[in-house]
Amino acid sequence: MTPLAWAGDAGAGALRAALPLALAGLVAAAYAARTRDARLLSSARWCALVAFALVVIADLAMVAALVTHDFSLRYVADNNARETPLFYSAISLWAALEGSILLWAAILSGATAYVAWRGTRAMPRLATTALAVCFAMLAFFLALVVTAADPFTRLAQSEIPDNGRGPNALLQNHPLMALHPPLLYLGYVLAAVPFAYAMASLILGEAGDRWLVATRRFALVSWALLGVGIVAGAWWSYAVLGWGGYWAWDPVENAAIMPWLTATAYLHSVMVEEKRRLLRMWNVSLVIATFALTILGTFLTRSGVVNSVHAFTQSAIGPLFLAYLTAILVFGIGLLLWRARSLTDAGTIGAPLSREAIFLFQNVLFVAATLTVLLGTLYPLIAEALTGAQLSIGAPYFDRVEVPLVLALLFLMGIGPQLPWHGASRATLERQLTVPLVCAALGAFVALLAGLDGVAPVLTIALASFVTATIGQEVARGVRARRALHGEQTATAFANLFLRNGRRYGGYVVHLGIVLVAIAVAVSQAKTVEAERTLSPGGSLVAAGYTITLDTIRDVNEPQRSLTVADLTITGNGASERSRPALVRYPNTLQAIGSPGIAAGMRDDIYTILVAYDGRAQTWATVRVRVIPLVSWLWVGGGVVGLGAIISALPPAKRRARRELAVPVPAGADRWPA
Amino acid sequence: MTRTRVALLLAVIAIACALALAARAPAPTNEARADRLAEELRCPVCQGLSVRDSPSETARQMRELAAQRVAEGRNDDQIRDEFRASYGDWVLLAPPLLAWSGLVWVVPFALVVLGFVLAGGLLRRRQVSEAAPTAAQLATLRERVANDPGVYE
Repeated sequence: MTPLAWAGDAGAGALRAALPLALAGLVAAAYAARTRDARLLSSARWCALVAFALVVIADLAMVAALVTHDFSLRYVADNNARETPLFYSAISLWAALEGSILLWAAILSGATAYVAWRGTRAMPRLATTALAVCFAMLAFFLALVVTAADPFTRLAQSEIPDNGRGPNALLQNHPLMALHPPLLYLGYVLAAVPFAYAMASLILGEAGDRWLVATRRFALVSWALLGVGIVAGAWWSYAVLGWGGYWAWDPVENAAIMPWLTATAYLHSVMVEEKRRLLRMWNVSLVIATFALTILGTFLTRSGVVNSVHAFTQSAIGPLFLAYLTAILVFGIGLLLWRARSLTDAGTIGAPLSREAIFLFQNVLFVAATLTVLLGTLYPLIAEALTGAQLSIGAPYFDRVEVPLVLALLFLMGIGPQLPWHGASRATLERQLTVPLVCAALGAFVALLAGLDGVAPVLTIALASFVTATIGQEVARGVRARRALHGEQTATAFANLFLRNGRRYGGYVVHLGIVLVAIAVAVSQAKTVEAERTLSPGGSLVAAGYTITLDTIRDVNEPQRSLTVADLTITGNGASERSRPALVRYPNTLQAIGSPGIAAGMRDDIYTILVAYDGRAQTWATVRVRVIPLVSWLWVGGGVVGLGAIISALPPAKRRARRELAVPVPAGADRWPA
Repeated sequence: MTRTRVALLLAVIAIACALALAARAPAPTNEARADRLAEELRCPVCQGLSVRDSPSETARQMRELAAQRVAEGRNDDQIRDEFRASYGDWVLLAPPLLAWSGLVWVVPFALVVLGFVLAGGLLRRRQVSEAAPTAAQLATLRERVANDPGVYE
């Protein structure tokens, strides 16, 4: 018996109690929204809070079962072993399907409780209707975890192993596993809240944009977590998979990037609705698309329809997710069409040289980029289903098709903020673009001098300089204006721009992060130098001016795994580093897994892989080296995007007052009887 | 022509020159050609990765074969066809343009064109519906600007 043997039963019980609560909450919230009965709303609130507590208890129970190695639970037996270190035991909560859905349910129940307790205060009727939608989604996930994906299934007494199989080798190889999946799940799940509010607004037939104001921050936070989660995933892939890349256009990576792309489009087009009351139907469509794409991502990952490094488990859950996805699309699109008439725009955008027009073009490009990824991901499936032909669509396709779209988007990213709402004259535009275009030209020549070739990489650097210059110009103008208006010192004025108008200037910080990512991707893709050689100890190879010397080959035994490590010394270009690529063997995996040695730097990463070695006498090892320039800036860029999102999401009290001014609630439209 | 215009024009010309220089690629070395071919082939063992990126033994053999064929003086299409003949269409990571699967190459650009046509519609209908702001609206806006000194936009 394990010390916390009761944890599994407690978790199972908590989930079984939470499901009826979610259903009761659904009914209570739906009736409360209809009848405006405060007592019903109160019941719904308590249902949400208790359900949240119960699901958190279930999650903690699973963690307890994992760290105490309770192999009588199937999930623990399949994903944990006595030797698994405590840290990896705990994060094995999301090492496989059932645990991931359990985590998902916890986040969704948290969001539901937030809507129930905070959301309903500001806009009772809208939020209560949204709450009913949240409860419906929560009920689906809870139904999953008590039926098809029950994480607390017990094994029969005779089946209980002495030791479990341990987590998938790739998942216990790097601490980033603690970060990447939960960030993505948070991003995925929080996208449900704007969806719920949009649906509520359609159900109630509200003519205004209150749903959008209420969920603006949710949309931003969800988008930011998804984005940072994707970068963390790229980093994990870079640090663990051992091929020296960070993005493979793998179906599941595609599934994660698609909702991020539509969410990015939404974050921008939403401003057009706020300022001009336009694109209303379009914005609801983007919210539906974003949420549906998060579910599609889960379906693709978990159903086994696509081959992927992420398809760690396959299960019967695929059809259920497909049904859920269908239900969301039917419900969402049905409501949208039903209410289409109340969503028609009062006017049109007008001037093509206006900020709203740039947002519109940007939306076209983002949606085209999304649909292209979707097409490329699903096309092999469709082709095989229709004709039986097997074909592949991978990086060479996506690179060629997506890069032009991204370059066009970078260009718009520079122009958009320069243009005022309602349009600018050509003279204004010319004046504003002179300095940035000169910077772009300088950037292009610097890129050429630095040895870049090919149109796309050089154009990327030119556009990156262009965008950076426009941002610099905007910030400088803001600082000058604050100095003139308020007599502030330059430093104070600079800080106040971000503190007082975080949404706008935080957005620029996000743009800078994207610029960093673009530069890192362009340069690392274009200028990676590769070399491979079989070395005896003492031998060396040269790549891009670095000399990599093999010192020793040695075996290392750890409780949960054994490694063969190549000790390398890297010199040259002012570097003097050690690197230890290894081949790692886990008892539950047949093939040894390459664990790269990465000497990271601001300029170059020296990425070393132990390809093969002489197992008997350890007299030789084959080492592959990739010198990857500027790749570190990709992770930095991800961090800067996150920082910008934080600046944007944290408005001071002053702005809150302003927002209420912007969207007045008609008297009596959303009042609750006392 | 104003000074601004001259500067703009010069900058655009300079960018065009830089891009022309960047595009003037030297003839690729055999090694670079083999690498590019390896990037376009899918590793049959590890599924997700290209032959260039895959650490598997099969991928190494395919890399060597590609390098050998390049050295023998075959052109890229011949080498691709050889791999296609042995592994099927599946081995190409980018579907060939001149087959019915070439549709995937056309769709993205068709989407962009369609999108811009639709967006263009939104831009043109403007003149009819947009009326000049009334005096009352202007007054409200002025007041809002006056009461909102903390924000510069």
